[in-house]
Amino acid sequence: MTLPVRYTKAFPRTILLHAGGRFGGYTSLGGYEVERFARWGELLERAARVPTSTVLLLEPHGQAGSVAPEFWEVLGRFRSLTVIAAVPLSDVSSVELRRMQMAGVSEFLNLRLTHSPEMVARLADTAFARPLKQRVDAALSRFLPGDARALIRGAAEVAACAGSADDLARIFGVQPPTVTKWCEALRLPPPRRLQLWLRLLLAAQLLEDVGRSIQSAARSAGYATDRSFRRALQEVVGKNPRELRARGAFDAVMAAFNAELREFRGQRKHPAALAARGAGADLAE
Amino acid sequence: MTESVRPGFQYSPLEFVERLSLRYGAPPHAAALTELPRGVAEPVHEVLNLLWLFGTVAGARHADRIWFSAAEVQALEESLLTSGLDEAIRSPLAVIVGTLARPPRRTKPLAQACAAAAEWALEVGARETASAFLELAALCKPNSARLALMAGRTLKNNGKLREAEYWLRRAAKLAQWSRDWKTLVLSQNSLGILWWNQGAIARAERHLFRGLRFARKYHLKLETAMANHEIFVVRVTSQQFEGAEAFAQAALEHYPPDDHRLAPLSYDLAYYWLMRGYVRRAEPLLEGLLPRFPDPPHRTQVLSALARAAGATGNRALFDQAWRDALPLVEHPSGANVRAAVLIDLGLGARSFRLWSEAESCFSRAARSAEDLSQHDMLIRAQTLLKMPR
Repeated sequence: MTLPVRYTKAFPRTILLHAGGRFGGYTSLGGYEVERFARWGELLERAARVPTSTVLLLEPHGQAGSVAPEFWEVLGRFRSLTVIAAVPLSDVSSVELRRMQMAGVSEFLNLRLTHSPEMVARLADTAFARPLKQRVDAALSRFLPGDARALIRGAAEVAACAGSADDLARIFGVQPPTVTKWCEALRLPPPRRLQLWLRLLLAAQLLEDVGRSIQSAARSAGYATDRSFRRALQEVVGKNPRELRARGAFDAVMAAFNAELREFRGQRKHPAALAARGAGADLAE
Repeated sequence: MTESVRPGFQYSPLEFVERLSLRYGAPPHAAALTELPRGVAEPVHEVLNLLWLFGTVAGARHADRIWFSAAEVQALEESLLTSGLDEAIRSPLAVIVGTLARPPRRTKPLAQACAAAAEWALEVGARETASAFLELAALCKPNSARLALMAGRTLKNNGKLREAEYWLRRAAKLAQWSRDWKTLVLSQNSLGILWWNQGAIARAERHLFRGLRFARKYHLKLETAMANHEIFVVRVTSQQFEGAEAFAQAALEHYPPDDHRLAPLSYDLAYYWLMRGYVRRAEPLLEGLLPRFPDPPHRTQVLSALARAAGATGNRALFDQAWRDALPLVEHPSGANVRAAVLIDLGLGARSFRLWSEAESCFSRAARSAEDLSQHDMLIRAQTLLKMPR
C-alpha cells in the first residue's frame, strides 16, 4: 500500500554521489536525478551550495577500510544535509554506526545487498528532509497529535523542495481544500501559513551550518533574495538573520512556531472543522 | 515535488498515509544500536533495516522487481544461521530474512518471527527494539488489523502513546473493514485505555462503549467481560461511582471461571472500595491478592493500594511492609504507565502517618512522571496534593 511517488519537473529531487562509487555509473535512480562528485574535497566545496532537495549518498569507507575524515567533516559542517551512508552493515561495529547516526546520517544503505535504482530511490524517499523533520519533531509541543505531526512532516518535505501549499496536498494525494480542512480539524495554521513556517525553520536550520552564508541559507530555503528572507523573518519572528544566528536560529524560530501552534490549539473548533474531523481521522466513530 | 496516487482504501483518512517518511520522524529500529551489546546489535540492526526497507515496498506493484535478489538475501540468512548468536534470537532473525528472500508471495511467518524476536528483546531489556520488531512487522503487512493492534499495544505499554494511538486507530479501522469483530473490540478497548491514561475520560468511554456494543452484537463473551471491566475501571478512577458496580458485576458474569483477568478485576474492586472509604473491606482483599501479582508493575500497584489502605486503617506495620516492598519496584521500566498513580497512593499512605517529607517526595515524583507521559489528570492530582497544607 505504499504510495507510488512521481516527480514533477518543477521540483526535481537529486542524489549526489561519488563518481567512482558503487552507484557512480547511474544517470538516474528511480525518480531522482544523479549528480556526481569526484573527490571529497570537491564535495566539501560544493556542500554549501547544494539545494535542500538533494540527498547525499556517501560511501564513507575508503580503500583501507577506515572512514574518510572528510565524511565526518561534511556531517559536522553541514548538519542540515540529508545523508545516506552506504556501508556493509554487518562489517561495521554498532559503535561506529551509532556515531554516524548521531553525526546526522539519516539512513544506511547495506552494501552487502545489490540495490536496484528503484530501491535506492525508495530509501532516499524515506530519508528525504530527515534532518529538518527530526529536529522539528523533537521540538514540537507534546500536545500535538500524531496526525498533525504527519502533516508537519509533509510540509517539511515540501519546504525542502521550495514547494507551495498546493504541493502539500499533492504529497497526501488529496485536493488543497482537504488539507485546509485537516488543518482546521487538527487546529493547525492554514496550509499556506504552515508552509511559511516550515520554510523559515528550514532557513533557520541552514543558518546554523558552519560553512554557510546568510545568502546561501536564504537561497537554499527557496527565497528569491536574502532581502525577502529578512522581510519574512522580521514579520514572523521579529528578528533579522544576523541576530538569529547569534542566538541559535532554529530554537528561536521553533519557539515562535510553537507559540503560534499553542494559539491555534486554544481556539474553539469551527463546526465545519469538526465535520471534517468526523470524515477524516475518526471515520469509525 | 511528489505527486501521489491514493492507495488501496478509497476514502483513506489522514492516518492511512503510507509513506514512511511522513509517518516517522526517524526509523524505529535505530534504538537497537544503543540498547543491545556489540556483536548482537549489528545483526539485529541489519535485519531490522531490511524489514524497514521491505516496509517501503510492501504492497507496491511489482515489488519483486524492486526487491533484492533471493540469492543475496539467502546468503544473509545463512550467515545468520552460522553466527554465534543466542539461539533465541538467531532463529527468528533467520526466519525473517528467509521470508524476505521470497517476497511478496509468502510473508506469513514474518509476524510470528517478529513476535519471537520482540519477546527475546523484552527479555534482554531492549524495549524499543521489541517495539521496532512489532511495528515493522505491522508495516510489512499493512492490511493486517491484528499486527496493527499488536504494535499499538506494545507501544502503549512502552508509554509511547502518540505512536500507539496511530496503530490502534488503524487497527480499529482495518478490523471494521475486514469484519474482524474481535480485533475491532480489542482495538477500541485499547484506545479507550490509551485516552484514559491521558485523562480524556469522555473520549475513553466513547471507545469503550463502542467496543462493548460490538462485543454484545457479535456475542463475544470474553470481550464483553473485558469491555465491562475497562468501563468499570474508567468510571471508578474518574469518580463516577453511580452504577459503576454494575459493570464490575457484568464483567464477573462474563469472564470464564478460570480466567486470569479475575485477579485484576478483584484488585479493581478492592481499589473501588478503597476510594469509596470501605477500607476495612479493601485491606484484606488486597493482602490476599498480593501472591497473585508477581510481576513488578502490577505488584507495585497492589502494594501501593495496600499502603494507602493501611494508612487509612492506621495499620502502621502493614503500611511499613507495603512501603518497603513497593519502593524498589516503583522505577521498574515496565511500570512507566502506572508510576504516577502508584506514587500518589504511596504518598497518601505516608501522609496518613504524618510522614510529610516522604509524602511530598512521592507527589513530586508522581508529577514529574505524569508530565513525561502526558497523564494530565495524574499531573493535576499530584500538583493539588503537593499544594495541600500539612
